Amino acid sequence: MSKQDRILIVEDDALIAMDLEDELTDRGFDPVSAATIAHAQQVLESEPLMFVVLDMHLRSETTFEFARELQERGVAFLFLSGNDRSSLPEDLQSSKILEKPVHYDTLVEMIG
Amino acid sequence: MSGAFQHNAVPSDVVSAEDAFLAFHEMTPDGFMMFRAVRAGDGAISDLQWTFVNKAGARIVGRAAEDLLGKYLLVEMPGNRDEGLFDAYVKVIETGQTWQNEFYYDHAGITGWFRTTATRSGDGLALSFADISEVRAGDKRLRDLIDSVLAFVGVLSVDGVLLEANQPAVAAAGGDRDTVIGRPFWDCYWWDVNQATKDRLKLAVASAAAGELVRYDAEIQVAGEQRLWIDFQIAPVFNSAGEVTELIPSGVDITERKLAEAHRELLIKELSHRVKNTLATIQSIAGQSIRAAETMDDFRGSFGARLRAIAASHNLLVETDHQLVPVTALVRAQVLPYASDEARVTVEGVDIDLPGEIAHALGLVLHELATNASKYGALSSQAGTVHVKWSVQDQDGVPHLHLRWLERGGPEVKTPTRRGFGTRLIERSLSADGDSAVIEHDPAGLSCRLVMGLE
Repeated sequence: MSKQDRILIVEDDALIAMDLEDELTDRGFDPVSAATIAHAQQVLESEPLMFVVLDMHLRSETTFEFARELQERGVAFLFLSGNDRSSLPEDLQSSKILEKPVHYDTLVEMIG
Repeated sequence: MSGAFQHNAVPSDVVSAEDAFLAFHEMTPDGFMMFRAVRAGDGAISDLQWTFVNKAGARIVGRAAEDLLGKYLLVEMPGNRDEGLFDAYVKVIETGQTWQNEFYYDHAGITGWFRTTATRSGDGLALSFADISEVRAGDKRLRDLIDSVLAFVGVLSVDGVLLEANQPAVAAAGGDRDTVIGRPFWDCYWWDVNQATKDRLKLAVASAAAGELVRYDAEIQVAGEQRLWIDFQIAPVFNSAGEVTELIPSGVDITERKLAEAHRELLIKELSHRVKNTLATIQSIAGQSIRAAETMDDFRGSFGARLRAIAASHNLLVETDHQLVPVTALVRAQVLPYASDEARVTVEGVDIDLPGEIAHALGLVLHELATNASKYGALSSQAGTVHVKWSVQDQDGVPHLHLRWLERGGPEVKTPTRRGFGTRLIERSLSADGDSAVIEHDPAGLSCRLVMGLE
C-alpha cells in the first residue's frame, strides 16, 4: 500500500469507523480513523492524504471548520452522515455528501 | 330674509320663505346661530354679535335666545377665543370659505363634543352645530374595545398610509403614535425586519386596495427589537358603491405556535438522523459480525446478541426522560444476561448518569466483555466471578469514568493470537483525548481498564 492510498476517516462512532476501515482496506485503500478534530488535525499535519471521509457531528463538535481547512489545502473530502445536505452550512453546500447507511461501492466511486 | 330662499319656496301665499326657515330651525335638533361681524377702527374683526339663535342652539348652550341676541360672542363665551374657534370664524368671514370641525369644548358650563359648520353670511357668519358627545362616547367605547383586544389592529388609506393603530400595536412599535401614524405602513417600526418583509407587505396592501382579503403569517419586529410571528390579515373596507375606502390590517401573535412547529420539524429531522445512524450502526455490526463468524450460525448468534445489547442500552435511555442512563443499570443490563447466577457479578461504584452516546458505546463494550467472559472467561465456568468497579475522576476539569473489569475463577487465560472484534471495539470506543483502554490477559483472569471522558 502506498502513501497515495491514505484515507482519513473522521468518525466518532467506533463501530462505523471500524467497519469503514475494514471495507476500505479490502478495496485496496489505507485508512486511518480519528474520533476527534484534534486527532484528525494531527493526522492531516503528519502525512499526505488522498481523501478524507467526514461525519458531520462528532460527540461535542462539528467537522465543518475542518472541512474548510481541507478545502483550503486542496484535500478532497466528502461528508458521510445521517443528515442530508440541508444540515450543511451555506459555504459547504457544494460539498460531496453520502448518506448513511453507506453503500461502499458508491463511496469508492466518490473517492475516485 | 334674502331672496335665496324665494325660488325654492312653495308658490303660494300660505308659506313665506321666512316662515319656512323659522319653522325649520324650530324643529331641527341642530343649533343654529347667526352673527354680525364687529369691526374695529382698522377694519379688523374684533368680535361677533348675535343676530339669530334658534331653539336648539339656545338649549345646547344653555342660554335663552333673547338673552344672547345683540350680545357679543367673546364677552358671553370667551372660551371661543381660547379654543381657536373665534380665529376660525374670522377666517370664514374674511375668505368666504366654509369651515367644518369636531372639537371638545369645556368652558363656563358648556361641556361636550361639538360638530360645527360655519359659513359666511353677509358681513357675518351662519353657524350650525350639534352636540355629538353621545356619538363620541360611542366612538370612545369602540376605541376602548379596539385598544383592549388581544390583537394588533389599524386603519390604512388605500395607498398604504397608516391612519390609525390600536394601543397594543402602538405599544409594540415603542409606544409613540407619532412615529407610525401618517407613515407608509411598510416604513413603520413593525416591518423593519428585512426588505423581503416590506416588499411582501407592499404587495399585500396593493392586493387589499384592489378589493382582496389578504392573509399570511408574517414575522414582525416589536419593541426592544424582539421578533414576533403574527397571523396577519389586511381586509378592504367598501363603501356603498363597492369602492375600497380603507384597509384594516390586523395581526395575532402566533409565535408560540411557530416555535412549536419549528420544534416539531427539528424533532423529525433529529429522529431521521438517529434512524439513519442506527441503520449505519446495524450495517457495521453486520459487517463486523460476518468478518468474525466462521459459520452462519456463529453470525446469527453474535449479530443477534449485539443487536439485543444495543436495544438494552436504548431501553435504558428511553426509560429516563432526560436522555441519560444510570451507569449501574447499564452494567447490569449488559452483563447479567450472561451470568447463570446474579451473585457471580458484583458491581461497585457511584451511580452517575451517562449521556446517551457514551452509554451506547460503553454498553457495546460491556456486551463484548460479557460475551467473551461467557464463551472463554469467568462466566464460562461453574464458579468464576466478574467484578465491575468504577469511579469518576476529574482530569483537566473534565469528569472521566474510570471503569475496571476483573474476571476471576475462570479457565486459565491465554493471550489471543489475533485481535478480535471485541478487543478492537474496546480500544476504539474511546473517542476523546485522554481516553484509554488496556486489556490484560492475566492467566488468573482477564482484566480491562477503561477511562472515558464524560463531556
